[in-house]
Amino acid sequence: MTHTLHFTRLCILIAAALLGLGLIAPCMTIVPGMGEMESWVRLLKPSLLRQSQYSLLSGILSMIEHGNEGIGLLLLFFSCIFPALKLAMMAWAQQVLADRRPAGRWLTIVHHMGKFSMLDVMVLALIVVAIKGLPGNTDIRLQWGVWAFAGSVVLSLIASVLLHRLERDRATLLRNRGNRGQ
Amino acid sequence: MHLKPWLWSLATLAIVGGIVAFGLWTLRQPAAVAIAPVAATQPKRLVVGNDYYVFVRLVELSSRKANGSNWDSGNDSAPDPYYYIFWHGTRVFESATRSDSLIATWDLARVDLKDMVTNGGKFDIASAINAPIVRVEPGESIKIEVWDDDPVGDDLALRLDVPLDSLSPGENVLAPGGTVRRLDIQMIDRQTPLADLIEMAARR
Repeated sequence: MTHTLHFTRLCILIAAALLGLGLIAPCMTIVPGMGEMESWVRLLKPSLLRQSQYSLLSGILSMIEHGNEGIGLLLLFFSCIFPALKLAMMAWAQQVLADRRPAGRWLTIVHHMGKFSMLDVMVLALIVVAIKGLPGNTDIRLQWGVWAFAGSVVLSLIASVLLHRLERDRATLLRNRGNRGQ
Repeated sequence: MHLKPWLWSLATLAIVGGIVAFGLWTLRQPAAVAIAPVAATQPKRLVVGNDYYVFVRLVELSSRKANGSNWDSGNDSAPDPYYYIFWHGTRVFESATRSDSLIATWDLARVDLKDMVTNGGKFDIASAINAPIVRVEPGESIKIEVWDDDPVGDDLALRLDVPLDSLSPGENVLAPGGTVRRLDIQMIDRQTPLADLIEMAARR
């Protein structure tokens, strides 16, 4: 049980660090393409062909700045605030379990939050697919920020599984003690 | 490691928040630093031996001639300025005339359609640069003459010798005095990439 507990803690802490990195690290580079007009644009207005790089957070903030407050705030919640809160809940739950107390309430919250855990990844995937469809050979290159973010999601899933295992082990331990007491 | 549950939560949030805050802080730094190298690479003086475009972007004239009379006799309309550039005692450039302007401006790029048609529709980008080229040598100077175009007898507004070693790459705003209040001369290295020249031409 101790090994599992340490491993859970490690997963949560690394997931937190990766989440922070995933939010501010370069997530995608947009390389504009102008199709057949590219050589003319390169000659007449080369600034249009400058590459732009976005992190998840800078993309969301620029969305809010440009008047898409609704979708921007939704993404800010589900991609930034929500995963951080989920990890905080997991950290809380693992310590409750370490203290040999029932973590049912916390685990239920984490379980419910887990249902939304892939929503942020799905939003990211949708954005990439949407931009991939742009005309003029515009190219989207994914950067390491996406890997950091995905790593955080995967580690939080592993931590969630481990927490359930810890809860089950704790319940089994209590049951065995109870049986021995009888 | 025994910590209170809320401390674990707080630590997790602090890791996420700390990395995000540090990232946002460092991302703001390059913008301030990025400008410095550009300015540092720009030499303060023209490089001897290099060729430069001499582009007179703007001329501002006073509302009256040096003797106090109107620019156009018989009416009070503004002058019709144009200018010449001389180098080695030879006229190397004549600008287009701007009508009724106290502040006359010219663009770096100009397409001469008549020239294009007479060339069989062929267009040479170098010919579209609206400025002569001079080579910088020690002690060299250029002469700029600003005139007011009149139907009968053009009026000289300014004749100015400009030592090349007094100019800097980029914008040089002079206040020669007399009837010319402001003269904006851009010195552009001939080796400037075409894309940058087009960018400059787009910035009016």
